[in-house]
Amino acid sequence: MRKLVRVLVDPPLSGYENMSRDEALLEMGFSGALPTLRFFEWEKKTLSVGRFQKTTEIDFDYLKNENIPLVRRPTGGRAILHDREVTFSLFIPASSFKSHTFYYEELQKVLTRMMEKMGINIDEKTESGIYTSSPYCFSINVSHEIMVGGRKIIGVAQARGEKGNLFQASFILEANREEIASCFVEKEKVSGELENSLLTLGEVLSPLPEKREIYRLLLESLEEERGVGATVGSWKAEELEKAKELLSTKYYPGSSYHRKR
Amino acid sequence: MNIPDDVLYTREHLWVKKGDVAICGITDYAQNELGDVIFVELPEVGKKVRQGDKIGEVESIKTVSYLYAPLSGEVVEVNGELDAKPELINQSPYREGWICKIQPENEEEFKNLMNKEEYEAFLKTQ
Repeated sequence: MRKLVRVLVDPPLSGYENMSRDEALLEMGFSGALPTLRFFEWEKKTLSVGRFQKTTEIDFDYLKNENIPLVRRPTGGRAILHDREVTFSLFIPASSFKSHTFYYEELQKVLTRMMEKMGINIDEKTESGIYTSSPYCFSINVSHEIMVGGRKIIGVAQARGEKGNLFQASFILEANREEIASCFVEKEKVSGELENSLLTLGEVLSPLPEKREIYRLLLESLEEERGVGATVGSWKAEELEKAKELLSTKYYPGSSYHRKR
Repeated sequence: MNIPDDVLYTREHLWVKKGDVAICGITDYAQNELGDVIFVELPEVGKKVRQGDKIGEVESIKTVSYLYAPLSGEVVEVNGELDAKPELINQSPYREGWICKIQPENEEEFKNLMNKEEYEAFLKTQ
């Protein structure tokens, strides 16, 4: 039987709603259900931090002045300023406990093919951890990153629960490095790191493709690399109910969860 | 890979040592698959848990993994040293890297756990 992935395309939502929906996918993961690829957007510029990232690294005055919400992700890793980017999450139902690198390797193959379709070659080998103490995702490199010319172009993080693995990915189209650095306490340090670590798609491809075109290329790459076909799906009522519950109990604006560390 | 024969195992890769209270932690197999652990969220002391409940989380390289209670009972002690040294889970999963102690409320639940041979067979299916 042909392998399939359920594809969800959400409208722009708040960071709180987006994280609630992703965690609902992780929590609900029905037995025998298809993997889910969810494309989503942010209704406004938002800073997300990793599940256990310390928020003492964040400049809250700057975020308040610029009206940038902060949301804590269910996945690991460091902060990302979500603005002009393609964001997607992937939930893979799993009953076995794979190595932390297993799905990263698989995802790397798919994303590498997607980049090749845009005429961009990915670095074959990546150096691990050039700025290991950085609070910013794109300044940290570990194995299986998607990098071009030594700079990171897609950020991916993972959470795994009883029912499967959730990946969240951020593909930066355009970025204002000064604005990114301003979100952190150590602005000059982060700013310096960004010059050497972050790469946006707009810096290597012009004109930029439409987001829908990038979605299409990702699905095509998934089919070619993993033999997984796409089926456009919709949210199950139980999943949306779970997301609503998570939004009201954990991810709501002002929740201490976002600033707990 | 180290699979001691004096502890029992869960399908979620926690080990449990029987005693006045049950001591539990992450297996050598799991710590190896997780990679370098950089943070551990421990359960609260006094918390009542059911077998299979989520009791904590660990973060390794960009990956957060949930921990599930191996037994029902009350959490009576946690390994506070992991706050400062989460790497103990990698370095010494069955000793210094223990996670918590649970006062079991139902001895029958130990029957749901695997011995060394059963766990070895289970790992072959992973």
